[in-house]
Order: sequence, then structure tokens, then C-alpha cells
Amino acid sequence: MEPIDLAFTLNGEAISRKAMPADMMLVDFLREELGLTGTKFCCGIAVCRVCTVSVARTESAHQVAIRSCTTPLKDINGHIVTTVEGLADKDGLHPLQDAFLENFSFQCGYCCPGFLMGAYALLDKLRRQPIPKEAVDAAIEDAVGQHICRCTGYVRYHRAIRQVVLSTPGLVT
Amino acid sequence: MRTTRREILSTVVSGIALSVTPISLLTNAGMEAAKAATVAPPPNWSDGPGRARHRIDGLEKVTGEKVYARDFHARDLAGWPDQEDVVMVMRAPLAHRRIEDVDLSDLPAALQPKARVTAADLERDHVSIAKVDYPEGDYLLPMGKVPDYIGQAVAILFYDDYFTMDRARREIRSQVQQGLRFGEEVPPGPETYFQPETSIIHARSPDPKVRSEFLSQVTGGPVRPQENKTARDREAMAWVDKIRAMLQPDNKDGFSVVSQSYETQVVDPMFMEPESGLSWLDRSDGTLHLLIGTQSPAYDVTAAVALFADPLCKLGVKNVELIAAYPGGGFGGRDTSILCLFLALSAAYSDQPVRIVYDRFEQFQAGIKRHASRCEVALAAGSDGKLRAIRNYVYLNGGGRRNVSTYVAQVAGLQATGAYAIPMADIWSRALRTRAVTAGSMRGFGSVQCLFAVETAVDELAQKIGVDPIELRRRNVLAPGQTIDTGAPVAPPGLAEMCDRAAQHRLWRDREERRAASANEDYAYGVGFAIGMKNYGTGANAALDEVAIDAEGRITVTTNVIDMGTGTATTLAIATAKYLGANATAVRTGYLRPFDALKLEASFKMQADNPRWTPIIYESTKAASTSSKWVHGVEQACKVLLQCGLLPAAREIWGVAPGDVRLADVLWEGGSLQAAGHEPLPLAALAQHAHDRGHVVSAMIHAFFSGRWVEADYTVSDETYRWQIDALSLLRAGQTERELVDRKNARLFTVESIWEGNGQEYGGSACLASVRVDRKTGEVRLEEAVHLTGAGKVLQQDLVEGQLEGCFAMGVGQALLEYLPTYEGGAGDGLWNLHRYHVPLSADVALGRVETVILPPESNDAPARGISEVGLVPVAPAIGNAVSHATGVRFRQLPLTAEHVRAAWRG
Repeated sequence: MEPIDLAFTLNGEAISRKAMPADMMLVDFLREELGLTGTKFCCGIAVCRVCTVSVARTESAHQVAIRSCTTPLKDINGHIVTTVEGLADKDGLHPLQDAFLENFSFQCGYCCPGFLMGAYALLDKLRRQPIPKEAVDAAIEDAVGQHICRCTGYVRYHRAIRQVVLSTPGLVT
Repeated sequence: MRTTRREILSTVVSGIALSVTPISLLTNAGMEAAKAATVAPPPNWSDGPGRARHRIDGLEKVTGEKVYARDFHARDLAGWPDQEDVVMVMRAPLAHRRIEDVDLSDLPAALQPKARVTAADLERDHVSIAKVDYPEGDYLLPMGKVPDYIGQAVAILFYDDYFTMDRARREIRSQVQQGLRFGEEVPPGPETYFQPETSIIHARSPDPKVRSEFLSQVTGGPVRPQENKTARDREAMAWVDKIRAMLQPDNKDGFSVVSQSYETQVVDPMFMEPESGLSWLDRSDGTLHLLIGTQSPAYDVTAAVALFADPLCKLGVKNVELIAAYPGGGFGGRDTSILCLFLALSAAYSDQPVRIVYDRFEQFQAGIKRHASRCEVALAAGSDGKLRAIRNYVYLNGGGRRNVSTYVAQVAGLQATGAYAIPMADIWSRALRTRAVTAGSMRGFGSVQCLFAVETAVDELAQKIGVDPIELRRRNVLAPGQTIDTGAPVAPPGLAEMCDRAAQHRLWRDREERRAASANEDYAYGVGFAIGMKNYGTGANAALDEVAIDAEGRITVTTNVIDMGTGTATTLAIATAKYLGANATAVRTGYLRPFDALKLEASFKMQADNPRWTPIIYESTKAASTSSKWVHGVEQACKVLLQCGLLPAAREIWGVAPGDVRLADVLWEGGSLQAAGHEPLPLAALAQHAHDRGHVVSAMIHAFFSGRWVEADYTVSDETYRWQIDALSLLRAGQTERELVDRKNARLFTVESIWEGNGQEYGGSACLASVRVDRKTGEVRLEEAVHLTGAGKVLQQDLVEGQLEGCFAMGVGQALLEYLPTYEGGAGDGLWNLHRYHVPLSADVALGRVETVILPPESNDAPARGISEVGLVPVAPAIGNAVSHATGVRFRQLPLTAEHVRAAWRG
């Protein structure tokens, strides 16, 4: 496969590289090339969703949670990528991060960035299309139900996400 | 195959006496011990003294900071060269053919390794098999031999970069012979048993005045009574025969008997971060540096040292240092893992730092597993529903390396009578050496297997004699404080209460009605119950802790224990509040090196006159010990710091003599030390004064526990205190040298007293589960559950609940989902990943429909019990019993996959 000239936006910053292998997986690029190790590697075959990052085609497009372990660089070229390192801003942590902390959602923490990014994409979806309160649990299950956590039994991840969804204006009808 | 003690008389090999070799780092001359990175917590993690608003390590983890071994490159570490080699460990995917050679001829030129190391190199360079590493088999398989086990390492391949190595390993994995040249087929050898075995024979007289017979290695043997060599052997075997007679179907006592075999599967810990690490041999001074996310830093260092211990070995390793990173999950699977040895070997053959980063396929192939098991159980009850006798012969498949398998068998033996008082017991627990992937420590440590067998058998027995299954258990569970029939002195409280709560729960009350109602549905409904116990701690625990306070009143805890996600760092941070009135502001986990200051000397033989002696210096992080053992250590260090540092400072400020205000006269309130008639003193002011006046500002302790803590007198500044520690080092403000304080009048342990006292501590847990079993597919869906645990004193509610929620999910996986073939086609073939190894997802664990019940502490001084293992043990048998209730078919083999259920039941 021909190398590509890579240019995309990562956590608000422009990233460009000449002649990159088109089939290099995004997780490897983030971790090995950029040293951004917040995005984790676990199964490498798109099952566990630990490596989830959020991708948008344009600034105004939907945030889509994708598995970076099976997403080659050519597929995100020109896109906007958000990883766990891009969640907090100058005002502090993202509400999801605060909720994960306060609910003791994670234990070893290795799957935490994947849950955060899956939930981050869910918030974007609900912002565009709010849902009834009674549909929130199903929406959370739909968003992060395939994410694997070996430590926690999922109880506190779902609790924290529900808390953020219900307390963020405009997500629930 | 079934064996009895009588049948194997002619086949036994000579036994090895039970021995536990304490690890003594300090006797390894010239070795540098470990160090680790500190996690600096955010200021708002604390929720007041003794409480946490969130985990102390939470901010780093929730923002994606580098905290796991996999996150680090050599360039990230101060003093290390920037360039690194990336290494792949090649493994044999089978163990029934010779491996003739490494054959990478099908690998494209761009993917060829720049160097490789094989067994021939290790032999040429006199690399030793580490004694501490249980010397069985080769680290790298010599060419022309049949692998000892499936997945045994064959070669180490070196690459310049991660991307090339990663492509190469994918390519090698895709090849039929996976980069090796297979030779002739050789049938597998006979299975043997790792030594020592665990044998417990208990004959309790109904007359309390008559002394019970208790024959096991913890009371001087016999270990292998079936050898019939001594009078004691014959005495033991006479009891074995009596118990066997009681367990015959046509026994003369008229007991009802269930006699069945129960099996559990190989399980992978499946911690989320595949094992990874860095190593570097700094040839300027011969120091081998390791960075690993490990549960056992002391083992890793000791084993790495031993590799190069042969005087003829000229690879240049003189010292070993280890940085313990936060593990991305552990569950036992990072305790004495072989990864450290491959890191050490790789570094010794490279001119630059080396990095190993397993992918998930490699982790399945190389990682430690939970033992597949078979338990042959015979259980008898009288017409009164009282259990009268049990035989439980436990077989745990340890795979190709002993690792900790014999200890797992030992703990399995301790749980082999379940949570019950059974007067006659014949327990024999053994670890098999086979060609399977190595099994070792995993959450539950033999108990999961044993409890599945016992709790299924009890259910069968209840059915047979027509007694409600919970009622049968209720009549037989151990009373609080009762001696456990496998030897430990104190049964936990709450077992009867758990039975009562479950029996009164609507799930149980309505179970027959709901089962009947499901007859016309497309699923069958059932409810099951199970109860179990598990020891927390090992019965011989050692804790190392240092607590220091700076001039601003900031408290730092340093410890050798690590936090694999259980909340250890947070728990130790809030443990300082009891004596210092405030939480720690930093916790340094995984440290060994600072504790050299205690100058401890370890041996199991007592040295009463040697104040440096202790039975065990370092322990790995295991056995749910943190909440009880390391917390004690931190509290004792804080007590020392208060009595020798802050209280003297307070007296000076208050202008009182030492005798006027003592420990009992003060308390912390609102962050200030208070005493009647004196102004409250804020911690920071006290700390500043202690620093100004040269008082003690750091207390480092070693504590040893076996049913009770070693305690001794310590004299500091002419005053003598009695503390529950066995070694103490102090640092006074303004000094650079620490001061050792010798213990006096110590209540120590002898080896014999450790064994005889059997200082195991236990917790209890129970589970009530309801299931729906699809009549067409056989799929089992968990509907609801109640999960009860006696935690005792709760240090941090969120952490305890989180552990129990995790236990429950892992139990669901054990019961319904997780499966690896034991031998060929199993994890050792290198082709397993999460596409076919199914761990529970949120939809599998009845999210929101599980009541987690933590029983109230039984008293004001109830201990904080380690619950992160015991919470797991009742879950799988409860689900299994529920499936049997639903289907009317008894299932004695895990996991209960749809295929498994469908094969036995046509709904």
C-alpha cells in the first residue's frame, strides 16, 4: 500500500506527517509515534473497545466512537480525532471524568479512556437528538455495552454516565 | 480417572516435605532492590480524614497519564538511553512434537529479526534456572526437544522498532508452524504431581471431651499417609478407611450420600493490559533495570538476579533494580509471572534498553491461568440433615511449570469442606504437572474450584434427602469463631445470617411458583443458592510501610504493596487518619529499596536473640491482604510517628511534661490535636515544630502476622512503647541517617507455631441467583441476584462495593461464558483472543438487578476483612444450582454454555 501524507486534527491540534504507512493503525500511531498513551491497547481486534476514540468528519459532524486498533491512518486522514487527552480543558475535567472519579467507576483504570470516549460520543448524539428519560439506560447500553471491563462489573460506569446524561441540559426530553 | 489413596500406593514418588522458602532480598549480595514512581494525587481526592472522595490514583487514570508499564518507552525514563530494542518471545504452539529449529525462512526480509537468542545461548553463557522460580523446565526450549508444555518459549527475537516486530509477529502467527520447524510426534508423558501435596484428615468426635484427630502437614503430618511408612501414616489411613466406609452408598449408618465428580475449566485472568515491560542492562555498573506492572516486585528482582548467579556467567549483571508500574489489572495473573525473566534475559543480550509488549494473542498463550480442576466429592448427611462426612480429592491442572500451584492446592484444601462443620473429613489436594499452559495465582486461589464442587454437592444432597437447600446449609454452616475442620481456628461470622436473609428473600420464597409458571414459556426459570468462605491473607503475612511527615504536615506513605486496581493506594492514604488526623497526600507503592534500612534477615527458623530476624520480609500483593495487613502496618507507623514525633512536639508547645499528656489523652478533631485544657494544635503546626526540634518525622516498620501480630517493646528517647510490629527504623528531623530501634520482649513465632496456630483469617459470602434457560438454545441468562458478604469494618464503602461488583461479574464469566480447552486447541496455541474467549459484558451481569448486601460489622472492633476474593466464590455455584433448578438436570461441569446445557437438556 502506498504511503500517505497524513494531516488530521487531534485534540484541537493539527497533526501532519509525510509518507506514513497508510495501514498503520491509529492506536499505534498515537501511542508509538506521538507518545499519547492515554488511548489503550488490549485485544487489537476491535472487540474490547478499550482503544475507543471519537472521530468527526468535520467540526460540525457527529462524533463517532471508533476502535483505533483496527482503524488505519488512511481512514482518519482529514478528520477530527478526540482522545482522552483532549477531554479536559482549561476550566477543568470533562463532566464525564468528574463523574467517573466521584462514582469510583474504574479500578485498574485501563479501560477507562475507552469508556470515556464511548460516552463522549453518546453525549454528542444526545445533544443532537435528545431522548426520553426512560430511554437513557438503553442508550448507555447501546453506547458502551460492548466495552469490556474486567474489574468493576460495569455498575459504576453506567451509573456515572447516566448521572452526566441526566444532569446535562438538553440531552433528555 | 478416579484414584483413591489406596490405589496409588504403588505409583507414588517420594514426597518432598512441605517447605515455604521465604524470599530474602537482603541476602543477595550487591543487589539493588526496587523503586517505583509516585502518583501525586490531586488536592481534592480526599473527603476528610479517613474518607476518600475518589481514588487517590484516579486523576492520572481518568486523564490518560502514563501509569501502566505499557505506556513507557526507554526515552521516558530519566537516565535511560533513548533507543530501545523491541523483542518478541517465540513460543511453541504444541507439546506433542519435537521442535527441531526456529525457521523464519518464510518471513519477508524486512521482517527478519536483527538478532535472536535461543537455549543454546543460555547454555553457553551459563544462565541459571532461578531456584526461586521453582526449577522445572527450561526458559527457552532446547532445539530437538518436545516442549514441556504448550506455549513454552523457544526463542527471543530482537527488532529495531515496534512496528516491524508487530508485523513480524502477526506474520509468524499466521504460519502453520508459527516460525518453527516441527519434528516427529511424541506422545505426551504421564501426568505427575507437583510436590508437596496437601493432605488433611480430620476426625472430630461428637463428644467435646474427646480430642479430635487432625492429621495434616500443618500439625506435623503425615503428608503422604498412603505410603504407609510410619505408625502415623497407618493411623491416618485407618481414619481414611473409616471415612470411606461412612461414604459408601450402603453405609451402615444409614447416611444419605452424594458421590460425584465436578469439573471447572481453564480461565484466563484477562486483565485488560497485556503484560509489558522495559529492561536495560547498564553496563557501566552492571545494573539491570526493570520496569514491570507486577504484583510481585520482590520475586521479579530475586528471580532476575538468580538467572545470572552462576560464577561462570559473564553477561555482566551485578545488580537489579525494578520500577513497579501500576498494573492494568492483575487478579493474581501478575504474581510470579515469567515476563520478568524474559525482560532480564533480553536486556542481557542487548546493548540498549529492551521493550516487550505482548499483544492479546501472546497474553493468552503466555499468561498464567486459573487451574482447570476436578474435585471428586463424596458427602454424607444423616436423616437429621446434619453433614457427617466428606471426602474431597482435588486435582488442579498446573500445566508445565510449578509456579505457585502447590500453594493453590493448599488453599483449595483449606476450602474443601466449604463453609460447614463436618466432623469427618478426608481432604487430598494435588496440583498436576501436565503439558497445559502454566496455571498459578488467580483470584480465589483454588477456592473457586473447590467451592463449585462442594456447593453443587450440597445442593444435590439436599435434593436427595428432601430438605430445602438453604435449610440444609443453615443446619450445617459454621458458627462464628468455630474451628474450621481443615484446621484454621476461627470461622467468620455471618454465615447463618446469610442463609436466613437468602431464605427470606422473595427470589427464594417464590422460586417454585415462578419455576412452575415458566413451564409454558420459551424459557425455564430457576433459582440457586451457594455459600462459601475464603481465607484472606496467607496465614503468614508480612507488611512493609513507612509513614513520613514533612514540615508542612504533608504525609507520605511508602509501601511494598502495589495497587492493581483494588484501591490499595487509596486505602493506605486514608489509613493515616486514625493516628495522624489527616489523610496522606502521597502514596508510593511497589517500593522495596527504602526498606533496606530495616536490615532484616529472613529465615523460617526462629532467631529469638536476633532483632533483625523475621520469618518473611517481602510478600507479593495477593490474597486480599491490603485492608487488613498493610493498613495495620500504616496505622502502626502512624502511631509511632504520633507518639515519638508529634506528641513530644505538642507537649513542648503546651509546656507539659511527658507524663502529663499521653496517647490516651489526645484525639484529633478538625485536623487539630486536642487534649483537655490545652489549645488545639493543627497538624501543620505540630509538624513544623517537630521538624524544628528534631523529633521523629518518619517511621518505617515491618509487621508480621499469623493469627496475631508480632508485638514487641521499643525504646525511643528513653521511653518504652509496645507496638504490634517486629522491626522499626526512625528518621529524626535534620538527620540524614535513619536510626534502627531494636525490639525487646517480643512475642515472636516459631515455624511450628505458625503452622500449628494456623493463623488463617476467613470471610464469608453467599449468592442467590435466578436464571432463565432458553428451551431452544440452552442459553442461560442471569435474571436477578443477591450477593451477600461479611466485610466486617468497611474502610471505604465505594471500594468494597466495587470489589464485590467485580467479583460478581467474574463469577458470571466462570459460570457461563469463559472457556479455554485445556490442551491442544487451547490458549497455548497462540490463536486465542477475545473474539472467542468471552468475558462478561454489562448485559451479562444483570446490571441494576443485583443486590449487593454488605452485612453490618458484627461488633465495634470487627476487623476489616479482605473481600476481593471471597466475594467471588459463591457466584458460579449459585448460578449452576439455579440452572439445575430450572432444568431439572444436574450440571457438574463449568462453564454452562448454551452448547453444554443443550447437550444435556431438551427444554
